[in-house]
Amino acid sequence: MAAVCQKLSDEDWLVSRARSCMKTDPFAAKAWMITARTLFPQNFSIQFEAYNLEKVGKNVKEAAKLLEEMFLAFPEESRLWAEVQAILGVLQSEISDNRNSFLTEIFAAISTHSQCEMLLHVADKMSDTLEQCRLLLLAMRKFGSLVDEHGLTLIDKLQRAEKKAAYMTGVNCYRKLLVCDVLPLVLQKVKKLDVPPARLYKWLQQAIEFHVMFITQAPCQPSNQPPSPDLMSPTKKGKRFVLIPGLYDRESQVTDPWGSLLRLLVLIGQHLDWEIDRDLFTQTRDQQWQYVFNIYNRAKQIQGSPYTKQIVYVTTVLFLECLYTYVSSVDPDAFVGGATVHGPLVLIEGFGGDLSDKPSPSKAKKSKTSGSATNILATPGVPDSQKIIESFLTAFKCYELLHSKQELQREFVSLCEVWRMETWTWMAHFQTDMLMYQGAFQDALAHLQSCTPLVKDSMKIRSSLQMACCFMALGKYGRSCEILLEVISFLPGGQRADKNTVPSDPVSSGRHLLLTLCTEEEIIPYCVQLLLSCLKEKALSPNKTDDTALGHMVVLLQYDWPRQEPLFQQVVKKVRSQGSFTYNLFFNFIINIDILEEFAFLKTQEGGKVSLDILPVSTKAIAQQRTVTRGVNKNVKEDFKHTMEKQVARSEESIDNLIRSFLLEERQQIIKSV
Amino acid sequence: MSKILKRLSVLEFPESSRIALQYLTSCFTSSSGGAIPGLGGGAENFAVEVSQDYVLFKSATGRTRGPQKKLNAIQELQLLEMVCSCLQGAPQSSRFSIFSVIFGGSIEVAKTTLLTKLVSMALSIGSGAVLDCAALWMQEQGCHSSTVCDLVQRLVEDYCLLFPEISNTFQTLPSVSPLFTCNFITAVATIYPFHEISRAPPAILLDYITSWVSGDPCLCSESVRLVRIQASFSCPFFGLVQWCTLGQILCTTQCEPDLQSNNKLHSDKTKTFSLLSKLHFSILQSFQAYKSMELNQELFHMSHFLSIARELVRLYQLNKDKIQEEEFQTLVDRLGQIIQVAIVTGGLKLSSGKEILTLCEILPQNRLLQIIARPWTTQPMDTS
Repeated sequence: MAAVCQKLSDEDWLVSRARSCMKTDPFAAKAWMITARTLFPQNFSIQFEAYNLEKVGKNVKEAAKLLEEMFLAFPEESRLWAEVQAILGVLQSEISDNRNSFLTEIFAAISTHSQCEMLLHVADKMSDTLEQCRLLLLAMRKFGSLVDEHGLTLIDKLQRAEKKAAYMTGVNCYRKLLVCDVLPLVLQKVKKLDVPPARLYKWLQQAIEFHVMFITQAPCQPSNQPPSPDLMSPTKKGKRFVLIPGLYDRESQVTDPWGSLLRLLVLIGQHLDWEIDRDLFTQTRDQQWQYVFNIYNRAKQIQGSPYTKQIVYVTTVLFLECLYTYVSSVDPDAFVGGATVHGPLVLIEGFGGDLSDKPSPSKAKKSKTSGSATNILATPGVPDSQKIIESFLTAFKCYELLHSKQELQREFVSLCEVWRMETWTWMAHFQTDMLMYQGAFQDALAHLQSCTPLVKDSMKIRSSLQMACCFMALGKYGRSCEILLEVISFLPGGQRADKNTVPSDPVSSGRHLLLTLCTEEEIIPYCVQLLLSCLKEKALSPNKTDDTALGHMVVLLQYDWPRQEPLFQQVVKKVRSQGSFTYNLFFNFIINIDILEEFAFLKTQEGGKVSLDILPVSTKAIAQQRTVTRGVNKNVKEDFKHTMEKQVARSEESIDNLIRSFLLEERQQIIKSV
Repeated sequence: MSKILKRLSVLEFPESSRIALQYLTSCFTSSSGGAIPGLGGGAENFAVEVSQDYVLFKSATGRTRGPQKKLNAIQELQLLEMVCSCLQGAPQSSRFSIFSVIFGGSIEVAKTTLLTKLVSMALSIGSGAVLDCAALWMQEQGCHSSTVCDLVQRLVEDYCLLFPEISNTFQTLPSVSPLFTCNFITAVATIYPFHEISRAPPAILLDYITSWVSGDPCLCSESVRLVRIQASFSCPFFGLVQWCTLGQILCTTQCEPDLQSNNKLHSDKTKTFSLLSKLHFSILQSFQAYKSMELNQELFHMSHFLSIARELVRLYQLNKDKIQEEEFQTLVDRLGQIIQVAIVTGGLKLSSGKEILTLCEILPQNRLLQIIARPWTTQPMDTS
């Protein structure tokens, strides 16, 4: 030991003496370090050892003092820089263990000036741009006065780094730091920014792109492993987020991304001298729309308006935000962090108070040209429907506004190109719904069909229902029915909780759209309605006779009894006028007591003595089998009476199951008859 | 006879003393003390008399009138309380003048007895004003003087030996009056130089002083600070250095705790050792603090260290069977560290390298001493 010591240099020997008594007598160790430092004030190893000693002893103040002294005396020592970097690393890390919090305390105990110098110095030495930017950001956050000097440089640095990395997507580490961290800081701290407006617009454009793409990321559910209970829990669901490569977990999170984008828009707007309310985006949709519309009107009066960019950017952001709100309700699983508990929603053609009001192609065309007074109604099952509908309508109005003038459209289209909006598949739902809302069924259909291969399973019903609506509106009842019946075959069987029916707004007899949940409960009534209106077209036309269609109608009318009685009376009138009625499925599917009674009455003298061939086996067929003798009819009469009586006993059966099996079993028949 | 003496002569205690103290205060606070400067017969003359007769109750020869009686214990306590509050209430600039007129001047037994009681009271009530005055008085008298040492001895007896429990008054003393604490330590180190085991400081005092010095590295330099207004100063450094060098070797070589010596030291030697090590480290820290105060006074002469070194060697030679060489070397290291840091911080100024070489000659070979001596022994390169 002694021999080894002899070989050590004086400096190393002193350090070794300090180390040797560090555990047994820490005061002696510190005394050695003081002595060593006075003997060799220019020796870095000794200073560093002294610092380490204080660190081991958990003496924050002393350690900080030594670190600061070393920072001033040995600015070129790599070990010192490694240490400073480690401390700064801890400041940014998310793990707060004992070691980390101790290092943080050391940093906090250093004078502000040295802290600032350390951050800048280390940042300057960094070779990794991301690390460097992180440190600069940290420095600017801690020392607001640095923002003036380093803010714009950092923005440039991040933009250059992003360009160099050539990412495929706007959601990348540099962009995140730029738009979520650096820009808000710079825009807030620097009162008078010395940059041309074009740069501000560029920042805004990049911010919008990042936020929208970040928010609308599709959830990536690993299919081969079951989702962890953590993800299943509804409270955690909203907190899921996608990591951005290169960033730490904490850095990847953007809490309230829309809020952050909207605040940034306002901030940039202020630097561009826009008239923009700080709280514009907490106002109602109506107020927001009014704001946009007012500038739009003001701009109209000025040639070569200076407002064009403002209108385009504000309207686009409003449009995208409404769109997001709408689409995330319509397709709750579309985005990461979607927290809606209900299933998909569908926007479909509604029925007026009277079925005769169903849309005709000609009417639809008219509504397309005459602007839109079309209402959207929601079934009671849709939660928060007012908000969803308002969002859709505002998005639609923004979209129309952006296309209302050439210069606006030019600006908007060029933004879309920069963002490659055509790749934002989540917008497809809105496009369909917008076309349907406009009554452009042919286009809507084309759009739906082109999207079919991309449609997720959960959205298939939605897509089919809309197609059925379009076919129906275009007068292609057969196709429409075919699709509807297919939809029904996809739905799992079940009972209606309460007999809710498709709402019909008594006030607006005009065209309206219906926003409804893609659930069994909401869809079957709608399908039944739609089928009825298809059938009606054929069955009730005065110069045609189609007993099968009439029969099918009667079956379906039971679904929403007695509300459908008026229509049933039309059917009865038609049957009576025909004088005969053949429908062999009658006793299979008609169990409504009122309807049974009505038919029994039709057979009587008073009822019009209608000849009914409604037994499961046709009377004609029986007649052919049996030799024609008297009393055949009597037998038939007996059969009819007997069957009627038996049928009355079935009137308590579930109408839901009955209609369902009718629609499934007689699918081909029904399609044939429309 | 002045008006004030006349007035006082008709009053009884405690009223007389109360008015007397009021008068003293007014003498040093108001510029209009009744006397015109330069015309003689100033207030101060009467102040001395008033304090002699009505605060100290000294029987003045040749004076037949006025108070001659001795105060009983309760009355004395009352008087001390009045003096305390008088000093506390007086403006800081005149406090010491009032104190001086009462307790300054020639040393008299009655006066120091009363002063001892006053300081003891001030300690117990934590009166910084009174302790600051006492500290200045100690400084004037010299902390090594027997007057001061006697007073401190009484305090130690009252506060450390009679009731050797942790006392809050003592623990917080540096925050009440740093200067008093500093001078107190100097005096304590004079009373208990620790150069032989019988003169070891009481364990509790070692506790207090170690925690004071480690708690505030500027504490030991408080008295040096006053060098601007007072030419001579004393400081506790040398005494404390002696504690952690000679004291350490004495403890090491002493076999059993000496029951005869009033059980002064901790029966647990390790406790004493760790306190001495901490004290040693705190002395080095205090040197560093001293340097930053830029007082530029010499705290030591090399001769101080030479004497310690000689004594160390003598004790080592005497007790070679009781102490290992390694332990002894540790003490040499300790002394070396103190010398080195004292040199660097300006507390010890070497006139030539010879001084350090003398030290090396006294002590056995030691690497630290060699390192310290190197810059002093290496001849500067011949630049010519």
